[in-house]
Amino acid sequence: MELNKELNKTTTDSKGNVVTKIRENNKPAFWFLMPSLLILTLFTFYPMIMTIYNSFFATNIRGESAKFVGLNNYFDIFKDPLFLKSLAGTLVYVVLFALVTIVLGVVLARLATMKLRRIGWFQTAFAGTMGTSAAAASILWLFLFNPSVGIVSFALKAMGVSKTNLLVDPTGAMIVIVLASVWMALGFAFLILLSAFQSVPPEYYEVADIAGWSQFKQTLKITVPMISPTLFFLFVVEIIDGFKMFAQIDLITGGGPNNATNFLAYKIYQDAFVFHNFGTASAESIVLTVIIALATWIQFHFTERKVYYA
Amino acid sequence: MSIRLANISKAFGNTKVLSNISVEIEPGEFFVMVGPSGSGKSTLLRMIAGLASVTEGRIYFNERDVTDLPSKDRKLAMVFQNYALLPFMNVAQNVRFGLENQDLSDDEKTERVEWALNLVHMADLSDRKPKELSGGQQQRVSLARALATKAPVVLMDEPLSNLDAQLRTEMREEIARLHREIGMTLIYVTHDQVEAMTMGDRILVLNDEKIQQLGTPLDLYNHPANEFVAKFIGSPEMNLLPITVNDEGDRFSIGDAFWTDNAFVLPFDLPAGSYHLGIRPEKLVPVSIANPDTITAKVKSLQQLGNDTLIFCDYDGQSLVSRVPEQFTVAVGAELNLLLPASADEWHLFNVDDGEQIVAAPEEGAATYGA
Amino acid sequence: MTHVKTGARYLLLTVVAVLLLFPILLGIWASLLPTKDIAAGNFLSTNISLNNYWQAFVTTPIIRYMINSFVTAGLITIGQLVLCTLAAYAFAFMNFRYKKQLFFAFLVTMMLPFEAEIIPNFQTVKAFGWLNNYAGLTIPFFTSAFGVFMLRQAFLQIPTDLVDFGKYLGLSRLQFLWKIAVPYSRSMMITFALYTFLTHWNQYLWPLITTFTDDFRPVQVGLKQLQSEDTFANWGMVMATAIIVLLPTLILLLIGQKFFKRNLNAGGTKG
Repeated sequence: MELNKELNKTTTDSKGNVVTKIRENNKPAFWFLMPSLLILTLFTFYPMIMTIYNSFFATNIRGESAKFVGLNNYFDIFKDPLFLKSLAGTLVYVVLFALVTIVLGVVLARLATMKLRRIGWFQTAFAGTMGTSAAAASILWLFLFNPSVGIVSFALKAMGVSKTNLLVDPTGAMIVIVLASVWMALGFAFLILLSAFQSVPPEYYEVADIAGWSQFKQTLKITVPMISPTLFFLFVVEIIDGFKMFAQIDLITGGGPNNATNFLAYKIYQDAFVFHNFGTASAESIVLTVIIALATWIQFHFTERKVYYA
Repeated sequence: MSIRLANISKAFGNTKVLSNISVEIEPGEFFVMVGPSGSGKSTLLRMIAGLASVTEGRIYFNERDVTDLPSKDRKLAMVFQNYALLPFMNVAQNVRFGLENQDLSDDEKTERVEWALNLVHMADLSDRKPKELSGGQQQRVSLARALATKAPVVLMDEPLSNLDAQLRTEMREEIARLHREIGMTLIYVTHDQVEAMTMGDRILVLNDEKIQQLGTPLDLYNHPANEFVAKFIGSPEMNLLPITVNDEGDRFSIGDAFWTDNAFVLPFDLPAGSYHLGIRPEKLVPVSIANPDTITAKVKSLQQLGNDTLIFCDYDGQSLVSRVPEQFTVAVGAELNLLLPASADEWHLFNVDDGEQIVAAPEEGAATYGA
Repeated sequence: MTHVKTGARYLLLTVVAVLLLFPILLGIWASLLPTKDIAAGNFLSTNISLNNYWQAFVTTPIIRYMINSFVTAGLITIGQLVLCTLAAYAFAFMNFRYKKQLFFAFLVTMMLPFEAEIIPNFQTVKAFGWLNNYAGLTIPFFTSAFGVFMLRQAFLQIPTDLVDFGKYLGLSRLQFLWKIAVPYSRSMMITFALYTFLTHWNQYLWPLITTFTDDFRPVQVGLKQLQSEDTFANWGMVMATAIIVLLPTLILLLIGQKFFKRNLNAGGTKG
């Protein structure tokens, strides 16, 4: 009886208001989204707008936007040989880094999908560099290439090479930075590629086996085309990561020698927090943003469709 | 609990899926709603459950309007097509979770869980996780979860469609047994007419937003209200032939025109004109010698079912199927004499324009079934 | 397959694994050697001991750095789990006005590099008085569009029957979230938590700018501090600190391996 009353009450209460009772009420969505929106507004949208704003101003010594200069900061950086050198160096680095990471990742994934017992141990080992922090990894690599105690220097010396300090040579420094970055990125790339390799249906390989294809040919003609969406996804992700790379430079080369490794993210940091030139740094930040937004857009656009290029 | 749907309509945006459905479901009834996919049967069930809003009309439980009540206040239980078991809970926890938000003591909940698991013979497996169970076992757990609520109404949405044929038969029997033992009102949605025929006290056939027919399984089989029901209920499908009756109303030809030299005697009088004649496959009997009431068809193929034989024939471009309750042999390509039924009960006549049943043979006293 | 061939494959795999992990293996080895042996190039020295670790713990603030990192990465992980889960739930299960536009706004944040926002963010945090403070290290990272998308994707995998079942039980939104959605997606949740913790344990640029004292300096920046101080030439000890920093992440990865393998690709290609 108690229940009866309650049921009747609810019914009369909501007469003419059929939808709200069972369907969605829109207000709670606000409370679910508000905390995230607040953080994003304060620490993503607002700073982005401020960076654009700052890029139109010259800054005084205290880092305040002092004088409106229009697009002059942009004209200045694109006339500045240092910035152009940084941009070119970044591009070379990013492409090398992404390509080498993916090629090595594919090789590792192929090795780790061989049908052997205990292959899981090797999979774990190959993924082992994934969690290494940029700071710790940089110190390990710095140790490898250190001119006085580095094992690479000892090896080069033993081989009779006179220039044993790679870090004082522009090309050498670039190579060290690329290698260290690839090493850090390889674990993640390997895991992604491994699961892509494993998702290829085994029937394809069985058909190829019957046709007498070699393992190498199978990898090249079956696996790689089948996993091309993953390869593409990874390539873009590595490109984006490459442009943002900072810690290795700060710890290994400090942008040297002779600005050979003064890549974009590092240059922004230096212009902003070492030289306190916020206007220039802001303009450079916008350049970085445009590049990364473009790459991310490409990633969203194409990986959503999952195009097979085969 | 009795359930009454009064002029229920449902539209998603501008797409109407159900219009003006009115049905009364008796307490303790095993009520089946059947129809092809997209016929709105699941939507109707979801509206009864309170999971979908009602666009127009009212729903009454025991003559109490529940149209605007949320699901949990309707005192019903539901069994889902994909079981809706929580993968991270074991069998007993899953059943108990169905009692969440119910005002029961812990002991009583435990008791209910045991009772329900015993009913479905799953008590031994109460520690298992769903993924360690077969599909049939998962569905038993899902049944137990519904039964544990002791709700007077249980709704089932295609509960057997994910099971293989053998398990389906087994679970059909199981659900029928549980209904007999517990006596709840059971509303059961399926697209499978065999399930509908074998389980339901009454069947509601839905198609094209509308009720096609409501009746007992034999009502639907013997007196389909229209061509849709005629073809939907029964396997293989009922044969449907266009016929034309002469002006005197005593003879007919198969086809769109009347031919005196190719006419058959009508078993009862009919007004002149065109009709669709429906004959169940088992009423189209092969005979060895041709007579004035036989048609001669060419055998296209045979299906031996062991107990039955299905003979697929061609008559003047018209596909016919005959079902013989024995092992029957005839060469493919041979001519076969099929006897047209002489009893008015075995004739199903439909309007050529709208497919509605035509009530004929007044002297045979056939009941009237219309929309 | 012949035994020789199998053996050759194991040899190949082992060589590749050793080469790949060589910097870590060398680091571990060097961390056990006295610095004077390292300086002399005497890598095959047998004077191994844990002295470098002892020295690192006693003479450097490495423990303080580690605690700071644990607090920072831990708080961020908890913050992101809560905030991203809430937002992901809204996008997966609720209908509201401007849903598309808001979703797009979240998407856009993934296109904007944090590196380009550090100047205004630095000024904001400074204005709030959060410089050299856990608040400044964590609050800006309490949500991420990536996390929202990853968890939304996981929530969308929940069968509609289960969602209906929750409605039929009359669960409130938070009850549904807590009792069905979160446990159902626990594998993705754990992956996300591990990923977030690792990412922020390894964070470098932001703490480099916003911390000035050892009280709040996390371990990554602490490494730079140690390396640039006079300890620099003490390679044995520097290696020991690097290994100490690496250890928690390596352990986390070993624990979380199966989750990463299962979920990273799905999260990656589906966005």
